[in-house]
Amino acid sequence: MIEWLRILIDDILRLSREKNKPVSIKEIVDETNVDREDVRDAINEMEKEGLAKYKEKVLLTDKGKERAALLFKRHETIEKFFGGKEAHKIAHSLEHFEDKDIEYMKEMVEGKKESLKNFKEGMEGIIAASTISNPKIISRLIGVGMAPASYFRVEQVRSDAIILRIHNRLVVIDASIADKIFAVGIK
Amino acid sequence: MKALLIGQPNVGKSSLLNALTGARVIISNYPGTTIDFTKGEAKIKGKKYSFIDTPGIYNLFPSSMEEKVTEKIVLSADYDFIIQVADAVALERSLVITMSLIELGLPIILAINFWEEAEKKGIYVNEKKLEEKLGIKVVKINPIKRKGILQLVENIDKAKKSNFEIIYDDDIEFAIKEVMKRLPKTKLSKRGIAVKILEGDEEAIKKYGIDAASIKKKIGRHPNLSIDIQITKSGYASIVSKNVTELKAIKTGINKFDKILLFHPVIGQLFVLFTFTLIFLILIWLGGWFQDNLFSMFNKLIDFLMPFIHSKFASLLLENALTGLAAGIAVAIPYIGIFYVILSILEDSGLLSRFIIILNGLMKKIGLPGKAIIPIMLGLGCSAAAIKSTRILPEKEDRIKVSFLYSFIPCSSRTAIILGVVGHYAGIGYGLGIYLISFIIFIITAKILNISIKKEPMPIIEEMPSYRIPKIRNVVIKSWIRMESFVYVVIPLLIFGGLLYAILLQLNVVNAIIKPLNFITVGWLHLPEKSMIALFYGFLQKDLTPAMLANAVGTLNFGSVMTKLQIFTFGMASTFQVPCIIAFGMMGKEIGWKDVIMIEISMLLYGLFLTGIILRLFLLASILF
Ligand SMILES: Nc1nc2c(ncn2[C@@H]2O[C@H](COP(=O)(O)OP(=O)(O)OP(=O)(O)O)[C@@H](O)[C@H]2O)c(=O)[nH]1
Ligand SMILES: [Mg+2]
Repeated sequence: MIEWLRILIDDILRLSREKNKPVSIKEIVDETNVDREDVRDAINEMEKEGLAKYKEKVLLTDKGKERAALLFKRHETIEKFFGGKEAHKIAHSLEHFEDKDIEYMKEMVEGKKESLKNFKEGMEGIIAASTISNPKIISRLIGVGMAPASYFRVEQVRSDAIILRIHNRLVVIDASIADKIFAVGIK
Repeated sequence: MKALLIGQPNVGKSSLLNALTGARVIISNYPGTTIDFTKGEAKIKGKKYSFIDTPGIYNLFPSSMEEKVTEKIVLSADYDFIIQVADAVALERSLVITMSLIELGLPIILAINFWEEAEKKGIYVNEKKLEEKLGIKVVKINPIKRKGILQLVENIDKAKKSNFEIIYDDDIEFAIKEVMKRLPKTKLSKRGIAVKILEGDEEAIKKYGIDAASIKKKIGRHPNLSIDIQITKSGYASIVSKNVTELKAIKTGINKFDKILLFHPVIGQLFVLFTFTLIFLILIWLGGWFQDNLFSMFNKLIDFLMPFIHSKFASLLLENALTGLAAGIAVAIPYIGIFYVILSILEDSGLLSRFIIILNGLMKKIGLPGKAIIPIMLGLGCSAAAIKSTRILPEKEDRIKVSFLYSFIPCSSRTAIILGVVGHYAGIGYGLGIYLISFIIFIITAKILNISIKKEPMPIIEEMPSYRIPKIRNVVIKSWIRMESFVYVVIPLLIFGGLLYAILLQLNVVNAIIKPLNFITVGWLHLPEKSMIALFYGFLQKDLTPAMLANAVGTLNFGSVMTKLQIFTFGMASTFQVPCIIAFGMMGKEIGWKDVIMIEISMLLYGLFLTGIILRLFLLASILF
């Protein structure tokens, strides 16, 4: 299936779940900013897949409801994973990721987030969130592989810096930055 | 056809350029080797291709000067396609850049490097899957062993725009559409540029004159648009990378050497101290050996030639030209050459970048970022090249500070004066004394600069390159590239400088030039008045100093015409200066002429002042004890 069609279907499902009642084409168009025809195509596809029936409004079948619930849960998971309220939007844009990726994030969310500075040598974890607001620093962090959901292992802790193995390369992070990065430890 | 080589730092872009075109760009094992773009050319399938090597970027959102250079060329759209060099070991990191390039609608070929290293670690990148996923050509290469280069060349005309879509959340999408409406038609995709503008990218905002503030206000729910956009892109990169990479029994664990070297606060610093001591010992012994032998060769040559020349002016010309050349070659080349070989080994083994961490604490104490150790080490080679390399420092303030300090970081031409002239003729104690004094003044000056140029150093976020065994071939080539200018520019200058001096002598104008400056030479520094000639030439180019001193005092055996203390003073006076006219020009280009003229004048006076003071301290001490 074409990528955008799937995304649109996901959006319709999520919208239905959010409103908790059948939605109309107009509502969908308003919410997603796509053309009427595209919405029609998506609904046709949903009917074909047995996710919904169309009668003036989009009526979700049981299968559709199940999928919508799942989507909603994913959204929530990602949102939790990436941090506080601000993360809402990131969550939204990542929600089209594949299930297995979300699944492992979900497992992580159950753990407790802690500042990197509390990680001891030899500990492993997953990067979850940060309170850094300087986009240049974020850019550099992503560049060395410290993007959210990245696995790492603490190799050395110094008073001025922490040395991680992340994406199989050694990376040195200033202690002042490590303070502001939060991660979930893996046992 | 024109292609850009783009990629993260230290992924092998320069190596690829060299392999593709036979160019000779410097390759080193640390991020930030290339700091400017270089062109190489090759004829492929009857068509002329030029490839442009660029400084490495961590992300297409620059956080330091050399990354800006690259971003600027990418946004200029003045090329036909991009070859992105990616790291198979950390594919996700490279793919973040790919995402931005795709979004800008650029035709790309992805060249995957380090796949052998990755497979050794149990990481397998499936290039066919990656090709499918992104819809672009993917080739595995190893530019060092020249593997896969042919395949890349075969596919050189297959650069394609990708259809891969990066979708942001609805608010960002709305903002993108709004910005797109205001953009003029360009070669790059409007969507990609709109994203850059919303990301807050300075270059894009400047280039298109749109600052998306009003649009951002409309979607006020986004407290940090830039970060959200970056994270979304990295999310896509992560997913793609997970899809095309297979992990089999990953081998992790830190190198034992690193464990001792980096972690131990004392051993690490002792190791650096040991390295520096070793460098000096090698320079003194090996350099001295070369110097003696080259000298006697030249003396024999002069003695051999002299009887053939009968006119007085001609022999004056020949003697001066040859003395200049001899001093240049015998004094300068050994020290410069040996230093570059050692530097190359430090760079390629991966040790040099470890110094960043080991010395981070100490550097912070003198107000410099740990990373400044790289331009400082390069400064022990050639100040002009090092000044350019300060681009890898994130803050302009740090660049100015380090540029100031080059007056007290003896480059190898000055090492030739310190070891070849002072060490050789006044005694090695005097030579090492100059180093010690340079080091002390370096620290004091750095502290003084801290008061006047205040700025919290940017925190380190660096990759540590893997240890690699230096390749002899690369060490030799690199040392040669760095010395090339010496051979092609300085040697003619040496001959020309000697000739010019001979003519001035013949015209009897030398005294008229140096007499008015006697108050400095004789009065303040207690030097023979003629040594001003050498100081003056040294002001232009340090390699000329020993040569012109030899010309001015009429012999290569400085010990016979100057006292030890005079040689020592002379060494200091020629060391504590803005290195040379080339470095001066480089500084002007890099940090602005106004600042530089100020630096030049203040450093010249500061250096002469300090030299005189130290001389007086010595005199005082000799009276007292
Ligand atoms: N083993 C191995 N080493 C490589 C390969 N390609 C490059 N290298 C090494 O990787 C290091 C970096 O290579 P460069 O070509 O300088 O990298 P660059 O991308 O130009 O780096 P910057 O200029 O710093 O951005 C050097 O030490 C090379 O010898 C490869 O395929 N295999
Ligand atoms: Mg390079």
